[in-house]
Amino acid sequence: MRKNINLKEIKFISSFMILFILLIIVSIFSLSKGSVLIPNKDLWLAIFQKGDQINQTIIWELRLPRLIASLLVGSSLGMSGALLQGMLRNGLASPYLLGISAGSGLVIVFFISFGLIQTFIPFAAWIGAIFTTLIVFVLSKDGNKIVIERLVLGGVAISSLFGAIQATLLLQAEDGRIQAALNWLIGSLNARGWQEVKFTTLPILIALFIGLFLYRQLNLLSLGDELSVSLGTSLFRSRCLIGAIATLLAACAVSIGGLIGFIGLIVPHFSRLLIGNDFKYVLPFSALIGALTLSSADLISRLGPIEIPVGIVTALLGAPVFMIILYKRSNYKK
Amino acid sequence: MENLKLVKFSTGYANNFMVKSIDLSIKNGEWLGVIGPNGSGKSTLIKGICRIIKPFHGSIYLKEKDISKYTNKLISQTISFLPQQCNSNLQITVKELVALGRSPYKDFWEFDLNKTDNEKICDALNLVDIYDFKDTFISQISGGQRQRAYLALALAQDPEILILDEPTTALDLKYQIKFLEILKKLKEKKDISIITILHDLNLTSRYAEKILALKNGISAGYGTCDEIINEKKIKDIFDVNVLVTDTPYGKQIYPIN
Repeated sequence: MRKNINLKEIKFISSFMILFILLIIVSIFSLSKGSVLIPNKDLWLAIFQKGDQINQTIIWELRLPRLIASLLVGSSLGMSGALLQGMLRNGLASPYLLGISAGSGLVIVFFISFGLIQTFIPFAAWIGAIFTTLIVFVLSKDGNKIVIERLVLGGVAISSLFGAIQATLLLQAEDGRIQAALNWLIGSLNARGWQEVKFTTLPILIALFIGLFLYRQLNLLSLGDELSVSLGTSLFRSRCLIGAIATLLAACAVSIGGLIGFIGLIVPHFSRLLIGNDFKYVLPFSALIGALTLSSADLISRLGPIEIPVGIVTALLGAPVFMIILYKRSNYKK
Repeated sequence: MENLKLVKFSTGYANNFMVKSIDLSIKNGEWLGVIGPNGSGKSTLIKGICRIIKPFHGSIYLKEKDISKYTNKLISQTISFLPQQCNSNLQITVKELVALGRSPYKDFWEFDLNKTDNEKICDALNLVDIYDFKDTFISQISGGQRQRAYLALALAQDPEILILDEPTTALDLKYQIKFLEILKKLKEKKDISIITILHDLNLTSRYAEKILALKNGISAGYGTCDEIINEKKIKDIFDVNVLVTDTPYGKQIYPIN
């Protein structure tokens, strides 16, 4: 007889500690590396608001809010993906499946192409994401049931419709505006400051906290609809709650960094590869790995002579990794 | 006391009646076998009783009280249901699986297992004789052990009615008998009512005290084993000529053509 439970907990704690240490290392690198290299000694002085004034400004006004933004966005997308993959019982689900990308993308392009107040873009993107997901949920509702097929297909249909409007608006826009819009549509953390972070920190932290407690609902749902109903689960309420938290997380992430791809899709797979598919562990792992992946990708995006949007880095690294995962999929259980 | 009573109960999918006007009642410690050809509505009836699908007409009384007055949680604390397919790929241990059976007693924010939960889980593991595997992943045990683990999950709900849809289909003869003997022991020890769908009429007649026969969604017979398991009724229900003999282990059915 194997004592798996102890092994599982030991594996969870040790993996979590390793990832957390990696996250601290990446965070320190993120603060010190960039167009201006800040040595370690000066970095600590700047963090404690001492020493060179320029270093203090770089750390406190540019790099720290950007680092916090990457941690918030990464953890949100990671957990949102894990919640949706669990709820839909489909490893190909991502936070953008329910029309979040289409809704916020359309609002972003609308604001930019008509030259509306740019500082409202994060909030408008957030509203666009939530509103579109609400439409998709209404489309998927059948009496007191959420029909999963309708939810997925509704997301695809709305994405297609909004994508077409978005493309039309982009075609009509001036060149400079198209570039600004693309920066949001690809996903970037460039010039993200305290304003974006302040607006989303509280909802993200609350949603991450609630999300962690949804593991029992997700484990029950993965037993199958019939058995989970027999165990007292309301499929409608569970799916609405999980969908709402996943949407809130993804919408907050989009309002900071635009449509950063692949994190929400790949990170839950990594978590399952590392720790198995018990959602008690998958959810915190997805948040942690999401934060680590995005902060690393953002660091990489800033290391070259020209800064590239972080969304390109996540796609460039994420696509091959995803292909490897798909190839090795037979070796592990979803 | 009647644990479960159905009066003119009809249910189905969308607007299609699959089961029409069923009457039945089960007392404490009684075993009801539901039989019938494929597509006769056996699983639909059970799903209707468990509120997995909506009733169209008629009433269900749970412990002599209309089921509509019960909350989902209360129904789950009274009725346990094991569907045909119980094969989750969750990488959790047997004990963690069985602990999910305590969900009907937990609020959203309650996660820790209290003393009663732990006692019920241990009881359930012992009753189905799988306690030694409590720390093993469910993916690492045999089909028979997994089926018993799921039965323990249902028992951890501490139900008064246990409903099982073809629980022995994936099991070999030894485990079929072992599984049904566990149910019989449970019924006697805990005085719970059991409803099973079994395709094996010999096993149904051996264990069930009452039988409901369904054909095309309507009742084709409801009564004791002697009243239902006979040549004429079997011919009516399954359209097969059989020879029925009495043995010390219940009735034996031999198909003739």
